[in-house]
Amino acid sequence: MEPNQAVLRLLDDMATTELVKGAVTLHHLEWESFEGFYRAHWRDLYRTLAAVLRDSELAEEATNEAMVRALQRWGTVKRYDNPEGWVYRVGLNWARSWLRKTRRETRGVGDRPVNDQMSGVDFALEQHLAGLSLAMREVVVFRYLFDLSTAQTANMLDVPEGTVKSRLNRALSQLREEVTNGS
Amino acid sequence: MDLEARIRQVLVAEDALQPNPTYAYEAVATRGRRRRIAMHMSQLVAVATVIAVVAAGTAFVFGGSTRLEPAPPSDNPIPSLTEPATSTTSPAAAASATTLPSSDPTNPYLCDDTMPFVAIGPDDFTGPINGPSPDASTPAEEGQLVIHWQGQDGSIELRWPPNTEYTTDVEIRGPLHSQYTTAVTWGEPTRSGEQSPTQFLGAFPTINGDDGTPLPLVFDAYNHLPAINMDGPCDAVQLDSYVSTPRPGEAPAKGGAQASGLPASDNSTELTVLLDWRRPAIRELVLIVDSLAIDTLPPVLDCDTDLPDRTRTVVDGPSFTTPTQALEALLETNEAYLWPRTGYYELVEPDGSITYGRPLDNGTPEGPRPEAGLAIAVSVEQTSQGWTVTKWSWTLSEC
Repeated sequence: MEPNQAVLRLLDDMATTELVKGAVTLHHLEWESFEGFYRAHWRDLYRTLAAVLRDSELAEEATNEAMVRALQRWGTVKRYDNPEGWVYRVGLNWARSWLRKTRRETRGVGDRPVNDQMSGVDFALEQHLAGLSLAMREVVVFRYLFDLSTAQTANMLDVPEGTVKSRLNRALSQLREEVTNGS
Repeated sequence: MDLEARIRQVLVAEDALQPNPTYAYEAVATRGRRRRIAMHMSQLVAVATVIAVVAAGTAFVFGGSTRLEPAPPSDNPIPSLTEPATSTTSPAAAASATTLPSSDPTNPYLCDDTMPFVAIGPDDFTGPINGPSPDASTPAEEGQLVIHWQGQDGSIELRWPPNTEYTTDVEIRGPLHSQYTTAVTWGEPTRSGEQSPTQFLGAFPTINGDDGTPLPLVFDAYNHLPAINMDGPCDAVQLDSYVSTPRPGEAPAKGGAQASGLPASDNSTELTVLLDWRRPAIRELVLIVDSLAIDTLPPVLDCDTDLPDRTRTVVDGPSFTTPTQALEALLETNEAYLWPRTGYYELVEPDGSITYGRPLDNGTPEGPRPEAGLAIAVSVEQTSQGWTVTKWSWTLSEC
């Protein structure tokens, strides 16, 4: 049996939003080892990247790459106030670079790499959300999927709160216009 | 249902569709440990080497300008323009994200122990000085080569590779001035303020804060170096300029970096860091690489970023005797301070229209070609008074 499997089950059962919120409340968690950090956050990191990128395979690769880099600099990273935010940003930047190099990061509904299926819950809005830039989509995801506050989102993204507000407002304006126009 | 509730509903539904990832700790740990071991092996020697260099008290000497400073005693080889840079480490091997970095125990740096270009600082700045600028908000990261120049008005710093968060991204952060409007918000990581669709070539205005005092120009620029042709974090260098606004009567401080094979400007009031590429690729050393007849203009590829519209129509721009002079003048403006100063193609359309295009670097061994797309396009027209820039478009490289 995989060691610490009971811990893994416990983490799976916990509401993910609670884990994400915990990651940004500036707990000074002193991880005895990188393994502990990995086990506690790999799934959340994947889930966050998958929600932002809308590409589960890319999100998984970005998660692994970000964790490798975290291990590479673990002596420094573990002392950060928010190492979870750091690995998220590294993972997203890696994925963004990969998308650019493969010329896949383009605007437009349907141009993004998508999962095997759309949810079908609100197809038009889903496509408009897919058309948001990564910068706007990530603030939308943090706000509406993970229920992070402006301050918490700013902490995760390492940007000023004003930037989070600005990006969120622009995203909502864009979505509102597209929904109203039925485009 | 209001929009926000709908958004939440969609995101939750998408989230539920995500497949379960594969737990990959062992693979991650194996890859990470390999990189750490290679770095740590060099740390013991690196500490002694760095201390020795710092104790010498002066900077590394770069390149053949007339402003050379005395070479400090050091165990490290001192590069110069007349001697091709040699390195004990293969840059490609050091830079690849999927292979081991340098295993050379004498090289503590992830990329190399000398910058891959000759960096010539501003005339009235001291440097380059080893280590981070005192104005920097973060210390040097493991394996990072950091140098800076110190002046009366602030400092300029180079980091190679960039800070880890940005090693795979080209991004312009920090407040950029809005084009001749007043509503500039400082503290945003990107530009703000109302954007004018036109540009008047002229002096860069001083931007004052609410109390009337000039605001400092602080911006971070992460410049990819296509000349290096590396993969992974070593294909980019981080340039940070911590310089206050110019003293009255002087030309504005631009900061930023210019890639140029030309001699340093004699205008000592211009604040520039000239980066002379060491690679002999001609495209990186001359303003105009070639003149090509084309049927249609290649596109300027747009990146999915939050930067503003980067197409400008120029009104009442100055006129010059030749079209390349018009291009050179544009490159001296603050709008173009991040643009490369070399590597442009003169693209001539069937009707005689001329556009200077800087190709998008697609990373091929042969180097970038304009047909694949442009990162920068500058249109020039001939009027009764001479050649003038009428429009330019710009996108980030590596898009």
